[in-house]
Amino acid sequence: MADEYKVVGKSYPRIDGREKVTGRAKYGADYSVPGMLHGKLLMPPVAHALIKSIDISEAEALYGVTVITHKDLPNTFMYPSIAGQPDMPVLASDRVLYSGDIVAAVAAETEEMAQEALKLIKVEYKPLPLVMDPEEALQPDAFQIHADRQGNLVLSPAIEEKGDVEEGFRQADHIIERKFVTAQRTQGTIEPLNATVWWDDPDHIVFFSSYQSVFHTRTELANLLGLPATHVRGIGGTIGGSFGSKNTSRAGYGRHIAIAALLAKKSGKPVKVIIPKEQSLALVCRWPVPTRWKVGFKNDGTITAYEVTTLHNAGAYGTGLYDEFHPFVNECPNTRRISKMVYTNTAIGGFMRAVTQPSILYGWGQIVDEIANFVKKDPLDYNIDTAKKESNIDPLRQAAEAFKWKERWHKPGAGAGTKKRGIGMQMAAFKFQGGSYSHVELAVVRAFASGEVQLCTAIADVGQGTPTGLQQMCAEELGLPFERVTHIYKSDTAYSPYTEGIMGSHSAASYAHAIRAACADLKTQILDAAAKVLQAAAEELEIDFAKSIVHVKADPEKVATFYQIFMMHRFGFVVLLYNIGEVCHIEGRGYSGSAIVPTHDASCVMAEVEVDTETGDVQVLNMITAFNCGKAINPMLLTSQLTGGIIQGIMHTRAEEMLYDPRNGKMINNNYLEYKLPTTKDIHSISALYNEYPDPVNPYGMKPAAEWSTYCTGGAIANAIFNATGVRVTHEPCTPDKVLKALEKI
Amino acid sequence: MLKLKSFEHHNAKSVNEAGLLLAKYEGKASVIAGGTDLLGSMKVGILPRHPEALINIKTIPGLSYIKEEGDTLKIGALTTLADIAENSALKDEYTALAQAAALAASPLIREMGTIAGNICQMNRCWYFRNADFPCKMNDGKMCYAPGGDNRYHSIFKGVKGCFAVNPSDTAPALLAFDAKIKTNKRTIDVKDFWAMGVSGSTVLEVDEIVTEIQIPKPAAGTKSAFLRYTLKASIDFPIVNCAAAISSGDARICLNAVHPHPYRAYVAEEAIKGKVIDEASADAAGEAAVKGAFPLSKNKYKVQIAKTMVKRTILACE
Repeated sequence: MADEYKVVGKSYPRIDGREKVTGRAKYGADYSVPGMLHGKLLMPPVAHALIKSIDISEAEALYGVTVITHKDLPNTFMYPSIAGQPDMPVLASDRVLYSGDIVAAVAAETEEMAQEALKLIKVEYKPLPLVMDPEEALQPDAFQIHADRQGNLVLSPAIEEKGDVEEGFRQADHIIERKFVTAQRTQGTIEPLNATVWWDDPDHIVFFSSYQSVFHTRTELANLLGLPATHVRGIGGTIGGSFGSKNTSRAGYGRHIAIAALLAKKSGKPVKVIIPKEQSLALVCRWPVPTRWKVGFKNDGTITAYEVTTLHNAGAYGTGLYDEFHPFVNECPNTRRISKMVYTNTAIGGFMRAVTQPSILYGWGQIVDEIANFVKKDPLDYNIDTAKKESNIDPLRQAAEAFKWKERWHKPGAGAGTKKRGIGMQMAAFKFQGGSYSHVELAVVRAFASGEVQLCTAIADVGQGTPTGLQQMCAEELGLPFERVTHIYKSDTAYSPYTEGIMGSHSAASYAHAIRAACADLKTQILDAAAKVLQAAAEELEIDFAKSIVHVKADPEKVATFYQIFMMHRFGFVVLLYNIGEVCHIEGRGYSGSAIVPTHDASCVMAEVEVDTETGDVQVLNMITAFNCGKAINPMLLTSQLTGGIIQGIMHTRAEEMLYDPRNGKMINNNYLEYKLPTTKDIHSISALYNEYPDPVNPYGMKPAAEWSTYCTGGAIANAIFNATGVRVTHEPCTPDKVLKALEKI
Repeated sequence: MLKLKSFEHHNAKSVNEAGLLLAKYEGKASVIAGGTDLLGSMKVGILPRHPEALINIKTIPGLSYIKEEGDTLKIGALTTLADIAENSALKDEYTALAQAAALAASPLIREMGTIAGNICQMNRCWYFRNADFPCKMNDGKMCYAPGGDNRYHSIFKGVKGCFAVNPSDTAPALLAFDAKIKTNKRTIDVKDFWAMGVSGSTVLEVDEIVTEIQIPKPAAGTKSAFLRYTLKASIDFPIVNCAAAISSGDARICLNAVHPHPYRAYVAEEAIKGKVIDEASADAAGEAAVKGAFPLSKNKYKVQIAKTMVKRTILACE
């Protein structure tokens, strides 16, 4: 396989790297237009309250200040909701349901003035009972957050049953019941949410914002404003981190764009809104998912049945999306999965790397480990026994060998001293469900007579490096060196090729189809024109992009230059013209099509921790992931993705959590000092390994890869803590209070 | 980050001028040196009286030095934490102080932040520092800590009903060395230096500026150490820290981030004084240090960590 491709499969440094590290990249906050005003958002001091009155008269009286409230909205609701009926307003009218609701917004000439004007808006609230915990929200006496949603349920509980669960429990020698809780986490981007908006004329609007999909965001804004989508132009900036938080304007991520649009309309001036971290950290989060398990197994460890209830905390509105699938490797014939989605007065459950899977796997990983230990098996052996499929076992063996698992594993809690080391693992495998629906992407490839090749897409880079990979694909298709292709990927809905946006790790695979189609289209057009120049059948010809010529296969001396061919293509005859410039090119276009076949993948993570039994401190000393990917388009970027997922997973498990005050429901740690993102000193050794299992359908045999390594980190670390200490920490994050409690030190 | 409100700015040329300027503003001005604590507080708007003016003392010459004069080590107020951390004389003889300076904050902040700023910094409480919670120290009525999330708050009761903690890393080291704080008006014994208040954490008067830290030469054979426990390995405030200086006849042990003021663990000192330092004696001293602890609903774990920090700091002095 090594020689099959010349550019694909090699590590090239990211094409956006230089611009970012030299500070030239233009992020959302860097954007400004002449005469623009600065917008600020008013969020409530309590998470749940009725709004008795909003008095904006004093703020409005300030010179140059524009204020809007729900009264300025063309319609009340905006965002589609899982619940069916939309439930989330742009601006709150009669009540607020969480601390991220927006009550009013102002625009002024300076940020300071806008901030002062916000203080002059008088809002009278009548606090309502807070519902912060998803399990409490289900209690019969819990306050109903949305009057028309009984029991605070966003949807009726979904039950999926396989086999005969009761019979499975009867066959079991042991039944365990466990509860696991994962924390609510913010995506933790460095760049704030942003939008700069102006009206070209009363019916045409332009917005600049860093989003994973400006096309989606454009359409959503058009729907809100009651404009045709073609009247809204969206321009995407360099994205300073997303992890899902700049996915689209859904789920509360994008109200500021609509608000900036309304402020711009009312003031007649461009408006820029940057949401400060103090506000934005509390808006949308990774779904916290408490899971309750009942698992039956035999004396030999065979799992006979399980029932799991997952409780998805949707937050105040049902505007997020979640995946409920269980990428479990360990086979079980009888399963019942009960999934509930519940409203609370907390941040909205939204998009974040791998969405809800890490939360569900956190519990399952610990259950598998518990059963393995209970039946006195090394968890590695137990997982190999139950993983069945050879392709599932591959990453386990690979990781185990590199990690020296067999040498290091010891009986739980066997370590001496106060700093106890232990190792743990977890694995997961599934058919990549995201692949079962397609993303519509358009790629345009232009070949110029000068020999230059331009790839145009609207791919957004949120750090994963796909623009570099796409350039490699284009070079590969045309038989060119990587550097001969220029990839232009700024997204502008008025000029860029269409993109559905990057999400669910689809982009590289979707675009691979599009680029291949675009290159094929380009080649067909070149050959058709060359056939006329060389007076031969297109099938008899061969293109040499490196030399910018086409020659007859049987007679390589018979050559037409791109210049001749492109003139023929453009004018139907060849004529020598000077300064013909841009006219002299051929453009190929290709859509991604509709088929990205789901593929079976497996991954595993192993962790070594050191637990300080006197302070409750947990350090993750070593982590290794092994992963069945498809063809690695750019091994360096793949490894960087896998490593990044582990880094994120480590601090998710160790320290990150959104905390709310029980009295007003506001987020307490809404800054990066108190919300504990990792520093480089918190991350020790990480290795990422992979096996190439080519996909049968996708170009080059590639498969999605960006989210995998986040899946199993939580379970692997929790199991390592158990191996070190002999006690389990079942609630993330494993902060010292929880560890010391598990150790019965407090 | 929010925008800063406007203020006047004066570059003082001398300590005397700085004092006169402060007096002129009658408490409505703040001293700025490294600015690493002050500017953050001003930006989030938690200073109850936003300063009308900042008096910049970085422009005063000759306030950055580390020198020995007779039996006293003198550190100028503007000496940065980085300079203290890297000073070889300090590392040898005043180990706890050098270690504390080396572990504080982050490399960038240690290059900016001064020793005087580090001991004068405002107390930490996520309610006090969050504009959404008008606490009694910030022009409001209530203290949010007792009935709220108090995982990082005082484990030795409050002061004036406030449970915010003093987060300074160098303060416990200075207490362990029995330092003196010289100002433009007087010399204050370090144990009398801190007093939790609305607009500051020290006893300094409105026109008073720290000019020098004076540390008496430790008795021969004194060994000292500093340890801290944080969730993150850098850019994080201590959950608990501890400094100890122990000689054959004496021991001084001080915890911080456990009380609104740096907390001298006198009982622990008595427990270890004159004893051979070993696991058992250090452990007993740790137990003694937290004897008076009165944890809140969510910070019992800090008692365990404080006990461990005392034990380990003593053992590190061996």
